[in-house]
Amino acid sequence: MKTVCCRPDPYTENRNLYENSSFTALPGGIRPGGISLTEHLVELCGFNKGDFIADIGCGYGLTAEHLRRKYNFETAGVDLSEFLLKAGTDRVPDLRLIKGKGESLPFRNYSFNGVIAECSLSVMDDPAPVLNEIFRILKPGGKFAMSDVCLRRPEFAESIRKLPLKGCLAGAFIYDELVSILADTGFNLLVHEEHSNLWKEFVANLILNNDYICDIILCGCSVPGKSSIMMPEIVKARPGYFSIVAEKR
Amino acid sequence: MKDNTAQSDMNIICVKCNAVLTIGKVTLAYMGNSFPVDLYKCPQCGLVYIPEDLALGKMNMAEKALEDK
Repeated sequence: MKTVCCRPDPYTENRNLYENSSFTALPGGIRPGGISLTEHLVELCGFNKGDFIADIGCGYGLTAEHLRRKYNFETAGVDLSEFLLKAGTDRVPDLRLIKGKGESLPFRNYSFNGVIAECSLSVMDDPAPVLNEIFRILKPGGKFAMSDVCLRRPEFAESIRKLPLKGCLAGAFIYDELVSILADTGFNLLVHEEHSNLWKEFVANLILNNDYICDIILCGCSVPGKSSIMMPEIVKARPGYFSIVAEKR
Repeated sequence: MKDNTAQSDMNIICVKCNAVLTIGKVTLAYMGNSFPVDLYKCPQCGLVYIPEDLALGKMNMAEKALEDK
């Protein structure tokens, strides 16, 4: 008994990590909590209809599209990947998706009421300059909402950094360090929530249903079938997930 | 996506119903979480066949991720 599969082989695709078909095929995007967590964060921020909201690391614009449709926000998304941005505007032509780096956002000062970053700061080289840019484009009193991966046992952070991981786990936050950077940047932390159950569910789902993402993100392995065991360093570091809402002072 | 049914080209027969198992969506539940997975199951009684390598490999790994020890 055979199943017929016409999907491309993710291991042989010549694309960047998040452009891989294993990622783009995920209906709700690749982040724990999905759109439900996005809505929760947005509601915590208390944005109003017509507010300008930017999504940093928007991929193909799922969040930007959803927030525009459900809350009538004016949304813009930024991502480095032309491939993903084109996929987004092919899907929704009038979606405002712009190529740009987190470290030099293509927006004017004080132009947004809110900025969202969902599991995207952890894949950037250094969060501090990105947070500076987010601060710059926010209006005074503007809200920054983010959700991302953290290490609940930071004493194992060094061993995680040495692993050949790609993706969010490689840049998982140490929560106290992030809080310190936020304060130095000029943000007041308003809300912090722990969502590690969402992370665990997300990871278990990837393990059971998506070999490629599991191999690359959780096991640091790009060869199929070579990653049956999650690296012990990762288990020890107890990855989790958190969200915060911060306000520009 | 993962094909958890790839190991077997042969027909698998349900011992209870004598029916050939077919591939279908099965929901695994563990520690309050539910996961839809494609596995062989009996079209009559719903008996699910979990290959040994899946049980000892990916399912074991998923359990560890969920247990948070």
